Amino acid sequence: MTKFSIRALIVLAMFVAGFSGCSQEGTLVIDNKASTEFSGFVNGTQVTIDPSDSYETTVYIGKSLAIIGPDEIPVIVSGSAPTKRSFSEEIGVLSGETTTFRITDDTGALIFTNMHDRTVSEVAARQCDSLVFGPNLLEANRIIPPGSTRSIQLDAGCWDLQITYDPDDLKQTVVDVDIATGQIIEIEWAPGYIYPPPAPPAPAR
Amino acid sequence: MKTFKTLSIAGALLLCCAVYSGTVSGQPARKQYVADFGVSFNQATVTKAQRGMLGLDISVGKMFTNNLSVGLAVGYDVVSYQKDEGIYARFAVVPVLAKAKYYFTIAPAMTLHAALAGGVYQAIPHLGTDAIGGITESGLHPGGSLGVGFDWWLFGRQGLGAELEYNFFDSGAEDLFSYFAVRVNYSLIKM
Repeated sequence: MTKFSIRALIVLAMFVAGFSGCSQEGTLVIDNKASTEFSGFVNGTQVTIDPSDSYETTVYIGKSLAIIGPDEIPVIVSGSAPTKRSFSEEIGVLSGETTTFRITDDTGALIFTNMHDRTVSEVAARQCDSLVFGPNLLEANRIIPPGSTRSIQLDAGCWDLQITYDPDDLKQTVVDVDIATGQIIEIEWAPGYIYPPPAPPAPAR
Repeated sequence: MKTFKTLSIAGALLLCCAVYSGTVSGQPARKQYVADFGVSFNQATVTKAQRGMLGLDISVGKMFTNNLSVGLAVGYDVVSYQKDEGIYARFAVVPVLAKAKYYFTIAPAMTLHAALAGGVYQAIPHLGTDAIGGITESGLHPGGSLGVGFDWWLFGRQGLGAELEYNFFDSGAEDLFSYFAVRVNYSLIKM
C-alpha cells in the first residue's frame, strides 16, 4: 500500500513538472525581398528591415499538454515600403517551426525632390494614353516645400505627371515616366524639368 | 478539431476505467453523502497561457447507488499566472458544476473514480495586453469537465485522494478554453 502511494505521488509530481515545461513557441522570419526599406509592426513590435535583410523573432504561442492546447497563433504583420503598398496581414505561426513571411515589391516609387524655390502642393498622374489626371498623390496636407523630398508610389506602366506649385497654382506636366514594379525613379524637379533628364556632358579628356 | 480532441480524451479516460468495477466496504455507499475538499494545481492549455497556479475546490455529492454519486462542485482556480515587473497578470476561473462521479473498487478501501461535470465557468481575467485563450473580459461561459482519480479511504469515513481533471468551456473565440487540474482531495463520508 505504501509503495502504491509513493508511486502515485511520483506520477502526480511528474504531471506537475510536465505542466511547467509545456510551453509552445514558434519562430517568425520576416524576409524583406523588396527593393526598398520596410518599416512597420510585427506582433506589436516596431521594426525596420533593410532590403535583402530579414527580421527574426520568437513568438510565444501558449501552453499545451500532449494533444491538448494550441499549436498555432495568429500574428499581425503590417507596414509599408516605398515599393510596397501599405498592408496588414495575419500570419499563422506554428509551434516548433520557422514561419517565413516575404515582403515583395508590388509597386514602383518616385523619389520626388522639389528643387524649385516655391512649394509643390499637388502631384497628379495619368497613364500616358489617358487625357484625365487622377487625384493628388500627396498624402493629405503633405505639400513638398523647397528642398524637400517625398516618396510617391506608382503602379508599373507609363505615366504623365502634373505638378502644381504655389503661389498661383501653376502647373507643369512631365511626360512619359516609364516605371516598373520595384523600380525607383529619382526626380529632381524644377519648372522646365523633362524626363528623362539629359545626361550630363562627358568630362573633357 | 477541439471537439474531436475532447471526445478522444473522454473516450480514453473511460476506457482506462472501464476495466474496474465492484463494491466493497471502506468506500461510500448508497444514500451517503461524500464531500471532497481539494487543493489543485491548474494549467491553462490555450494561446498566451502562462504557467499555472493553485486552486481550491469543494464538491458535495449524494450516492445514488453504491458506485454513482451526483452533486455540486465549486472552486476558485488560477489557471495562468505571470509576474512581470511588479505586475501580477493572472487568469482565474470559478467553476460551478453539476458533477457525477462513478467509483470503481480496486482494493479494500481503495477506489478509482471517473467524473463528468457540466455547468458554467466564471472567467476572472486580470491581464496585461495579451488575451489568454481569446478572453480579456470577465464573463460566464458554459462548459464541463472530465476527470479520473483515486481515493484511499484510510480512516474509515475519511479519505485522501488525487485526481486529474480536464476542464473546458466556450470562450467565444475559435477554440475552446481548456485547463488541466491536478488535485489532492481530503474526503468525508456522511451517513
